[in-house]
Amino acid sequence: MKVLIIIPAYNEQKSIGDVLDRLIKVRLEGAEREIIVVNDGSTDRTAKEVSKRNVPILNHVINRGLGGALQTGFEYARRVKPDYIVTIDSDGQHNPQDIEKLIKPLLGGHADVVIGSRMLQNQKMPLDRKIINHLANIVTFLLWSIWITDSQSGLRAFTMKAVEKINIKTNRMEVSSELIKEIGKNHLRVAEVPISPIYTTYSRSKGQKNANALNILVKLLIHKFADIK
Amino acid sequence: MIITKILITGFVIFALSRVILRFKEGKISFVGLLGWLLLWGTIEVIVWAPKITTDFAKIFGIGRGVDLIIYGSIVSIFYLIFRIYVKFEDMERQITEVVKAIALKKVSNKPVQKSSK
Repeated sequence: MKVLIIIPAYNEQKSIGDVLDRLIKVRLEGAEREIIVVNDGSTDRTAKEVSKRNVPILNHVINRGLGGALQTGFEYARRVKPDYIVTIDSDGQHNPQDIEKLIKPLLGGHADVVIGSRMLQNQKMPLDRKIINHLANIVTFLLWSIWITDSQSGLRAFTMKAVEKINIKTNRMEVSSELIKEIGKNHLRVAEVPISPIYTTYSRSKGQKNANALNILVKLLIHKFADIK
Repeated sequence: MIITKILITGFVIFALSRVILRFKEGKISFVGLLGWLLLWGTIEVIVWAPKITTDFAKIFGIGRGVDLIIYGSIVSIFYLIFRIYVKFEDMERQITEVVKAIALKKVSNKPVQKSSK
């Protein structure tokens, strides 16, 4: 059994090294693990930090956003054909130990996609982030009729079968909601497991900006109502 | 006033000649030709018989012809912005396709070489 861990990264020189060090230490029982970093046109030392640890890297020549980086990661997965695919943020907010919890429902055949939810147990999530997340969940539900407690979570796991079916088109942060759309469209079974995010000043400054929410909403509406190839 | 009308008519004739030329060159379709003819034709009618717009506006329950034109323009501009936004989004996606293809050509553990500014 092979698990591919995709890490989209844009200007994460401060955190990527630590994220990789913690990921490398994670042992998944009975599984071969491959890590790939999608360096999304970083202009800092992100790529150097990754190569220092001898982790393979896919370099975007210019920044395309989270959606673009995930598209590249998924396409790579389609080529190397692992059994399971995990996506994790590079800002250090996710605990790599949660990956084992995440792939459990996939191993048991209970789900095709698992989302690590920061809302399922009492978290010390900042209030503004909590409100934005709830609004994002509501918008996602209104657009695609699927209720996810943490639609914007970056810690997710997929079966290869699910990744073969999912077709991401959006480039930036709106990809999180688009993934939910793809889950519904392809009739994939989705499960959520509680995860414990680590909120630091750094991860907060790197995450979605609150002011960006409106822009994401407009792009989602365009995606919903305009048929862009 | 009559000078303005003549000037506009002159411009419309010039625009129409370009449209017909483009159609002959095969650069615009027959539907495109009809669309442009309708647009410039309407402008010409409005220039010489502006009262028609008021009669037309009344059908929509709007008092003055000029108001109908303004409302129509606002709707058209919104639609154009939407079309441009969609086109822009489409181009963004095509750029990503190119960037993705380049990235997947080579999996490396070395940083990408940045050109110096």
